[in-house]
Amino acid sequence: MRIRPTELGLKGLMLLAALEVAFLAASYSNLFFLLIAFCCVLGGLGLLWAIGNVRPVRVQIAAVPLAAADAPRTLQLVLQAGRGTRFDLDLEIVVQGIAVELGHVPLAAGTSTLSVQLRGLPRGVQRVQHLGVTSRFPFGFFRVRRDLLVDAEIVTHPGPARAPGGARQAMALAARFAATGSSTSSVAGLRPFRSGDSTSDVHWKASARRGAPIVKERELERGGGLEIVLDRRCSTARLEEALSIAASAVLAARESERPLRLLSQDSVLEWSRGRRDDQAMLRWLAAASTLPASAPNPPAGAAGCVHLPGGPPAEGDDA
Amino acid sequence: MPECLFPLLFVLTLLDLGFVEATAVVSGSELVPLWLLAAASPWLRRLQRYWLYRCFWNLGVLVVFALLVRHATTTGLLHMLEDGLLLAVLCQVHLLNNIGERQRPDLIFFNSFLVAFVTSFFAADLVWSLLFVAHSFVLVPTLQVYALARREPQLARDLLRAVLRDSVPRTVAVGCVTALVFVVWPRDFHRDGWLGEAMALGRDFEAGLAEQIRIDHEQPTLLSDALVMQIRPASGRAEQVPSHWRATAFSIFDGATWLPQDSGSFGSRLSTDDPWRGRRDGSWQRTAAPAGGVLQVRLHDLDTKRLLCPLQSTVIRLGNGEGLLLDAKSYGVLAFLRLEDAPLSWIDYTVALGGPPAPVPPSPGARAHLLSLPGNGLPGVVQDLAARLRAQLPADADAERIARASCDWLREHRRYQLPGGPGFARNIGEFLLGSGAGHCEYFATALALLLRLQDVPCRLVGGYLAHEWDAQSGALVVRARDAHAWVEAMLPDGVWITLDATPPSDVFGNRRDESSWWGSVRTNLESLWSDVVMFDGKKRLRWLQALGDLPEALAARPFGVLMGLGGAIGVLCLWRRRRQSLPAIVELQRAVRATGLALQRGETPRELLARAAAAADVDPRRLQGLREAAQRHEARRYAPPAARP
Repeated sequence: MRIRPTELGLKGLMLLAALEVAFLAASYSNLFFLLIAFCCVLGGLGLLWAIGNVRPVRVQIAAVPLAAADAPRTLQLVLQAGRGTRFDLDLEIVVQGIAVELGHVPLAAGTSTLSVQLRGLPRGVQRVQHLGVTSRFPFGFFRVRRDLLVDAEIVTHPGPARAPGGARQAMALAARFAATGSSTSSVAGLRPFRSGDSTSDVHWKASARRGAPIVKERELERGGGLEIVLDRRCSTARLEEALSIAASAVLAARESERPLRLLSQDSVLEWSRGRRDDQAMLRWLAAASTLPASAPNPPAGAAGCVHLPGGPPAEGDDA
Repeated sequence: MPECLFPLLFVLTLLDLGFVEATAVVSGSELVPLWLLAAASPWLRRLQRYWLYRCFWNLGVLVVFALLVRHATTTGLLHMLEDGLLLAVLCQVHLLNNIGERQRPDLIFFNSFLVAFVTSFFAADLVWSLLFVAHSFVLVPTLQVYALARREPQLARDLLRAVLRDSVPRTVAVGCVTALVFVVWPRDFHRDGWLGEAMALGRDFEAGLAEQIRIDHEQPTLLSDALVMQIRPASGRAEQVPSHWRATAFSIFDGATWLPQDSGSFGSRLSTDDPWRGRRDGSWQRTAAPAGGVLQVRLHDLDTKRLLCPLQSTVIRLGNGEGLLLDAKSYGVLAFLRLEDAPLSWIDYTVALGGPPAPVPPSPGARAHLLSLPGNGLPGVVQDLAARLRAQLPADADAERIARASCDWLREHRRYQLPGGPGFARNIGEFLLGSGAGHCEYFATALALLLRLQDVPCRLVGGYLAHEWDAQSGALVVRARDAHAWVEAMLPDGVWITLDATPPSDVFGNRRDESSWWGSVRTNLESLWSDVVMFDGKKRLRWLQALGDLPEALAARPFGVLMGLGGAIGVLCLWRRRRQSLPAIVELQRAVRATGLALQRGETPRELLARAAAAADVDPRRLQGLREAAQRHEARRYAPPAARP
């Protein structure tokens, strides 16, 4: 818990000091003493009540939706005010050492769910270090802050490509999804159930035979899906652009319900309709970073796959 | 400044004006413009967006400021104080009228508290204490609203109501803890302070002679219960007995000491009163004929050396006068000389009352004597005050009106306190300035000086105040602690009138007006406040002892304690239940009550609304209020959290 006097508190303190000096300079007077005692009690109780206003507050982050870089998102918070009513609560989260303001709760009683707007963050998977609750209530003499530990991460996937080339490529990929026909894909074989698989893909007969859940593995239908090979051995700027194009492709695939496979060094990610872990690909894109030139090649894609970053290597690329 | 804060700051400013008004240092007419400007501030501040108006306003404030500073530095101390208080409230009104949206109201808070603080030195009476309680109940929620409105400039009505409700227990808690600190905190009640002497007003008065009334000593007074006399009215009615019983009159004041009127030689006695004349039957009589009742007096304290009697006595007859020699003093009292072998332990005598004493036209010498002022001058504050009081009366006001106006002013605006305690004035200047309290001698001296400065001849009278009625013996009992001082003023035709400037509630211990509930409450409040102002080490010890004995006292009354605890738990439960009610439900219930209907068992708010709409006798405005409350109730209870208002 951190306690600091506010500007009003400092001014009040100076006034009290001046009154104290006058009190000691003049001969004793009961009313003088009474008024100084009133000031001290007001300040003292103000501090105790400010601490009491913040201490019982518990806040949990109920849901953190994914959002593109620099785009705002709405967080769901569960605020428990404890017994009684709490006033004037400022909420902020500290993400990677940076405090981000969440909002102001003028009055809280019992348990309530709040929707607060979180301003845009840069791409990445950010761990929330703690959530700060600050209050100046009741008298505004002190600012009391309490940091609450919360277990949450904020995933900010790449935003839409901004460079003209990247934007064009992203639009081309989106158009490719739109131009394709049926979204259904044919079954290529069977494999064991993996976390995130849709229950509609479970092959019940095979599961019954083998005694473990087995799902149907689908093959990207010709023209119905897309395969992206992302080579991360490039400069940061090119990677960012490539990630933006890939993110656009992922969002377009989700929108048009087309299957998508993303291949990169050490990673093969798939998305198809019905998969429950549809956010895994965006999370991977949010966390992706460049690799040195000595890193192995990405897996080879099927014919017609899209290679990213596209175009000739720029100056500064590792490859 | 958030707009929602303005009403609270407005009330704070009005209370500040009330504080200054309560001091009576600033005349009411000077405060009227400020009252008007403060009252009009909700409208006037809207004009602040016009450049020309701002120029006009600021110029006006600057001019008034300059005039007040000039007046304060070129006139006496009393005016300086008056101007200082005017400046303080002028600043407050100016701030209230000019604070903008982007400005902080910090200065208004501090200035408001300072006004309350400074005025406490000059009007530490019940009115000030009540104003301060009101001030606290406004200051605390104002600070709370300010803390909240920092982020929410437009507070919703519900939120504002919740904050105001929250402020009440906090204010009470602040008051209770302050009271506890005041009682428990150990301190030196007689500390002079670093600048104690330097800050004292000039000590113009030095010690005088023996047989005198000295007003510059601060020794604690012992309030003895020793019996002085008993007065038994023939009619058996206490109302028949005059309250002021004279012993000595003092006419010469040297700045610190009052000397008796007959301190000169026998031949130089002044002819100021209807003289006592001895008769053959041993009684003493004056010109005025008996017209009132007869009082039987038994004087127990023979050290008074006076046969105490009221101003309107006409006949005194001794019951056991053996061994006594009587001497009629010029101021209308019979002094006695007791022979050494006189076997007396008390003196019985009867006093016949008449109408007003017969007038004795004053000689120019006597008049000059009764108008004389100390040769070493008077503090400026006395002269300023006398001039101001005189200015408040018409030019042709007669002596009696002048005398009564000054007497009333002192009675209403100055505090009574026995010497020796904290807050007691160190001299007559501090008393008249209002920064210290005084006892009856201060009140009488102040009145006498004010009257002489306004050309009204007068003298100070020492004696006793008869007010303790003993129903068992059917007599008024006068004790040593009833010793008192007051003033007698001589009117132009030679008639004396009694003027007692000491507040009656302070001297008539058991004659207070307790007949009405307000009188009783006021008496108790005054007594409580008097305890606060005159709190000292002895009272602190007594309070601490009472606090220490509290567990024992509670244990002695188990039934009462149980009843109290039960009541407190009941109130707490009700309070908790009320707190647990959702604001939407509370608001709905309030709206239902306003329509005069009652929510029936199993009835939904919508059904109730329909019933209210069908009823012919429901006020349309209240129906609309109910409709809005029902809608808010639904929105708050059933809408998803994100959509709740």
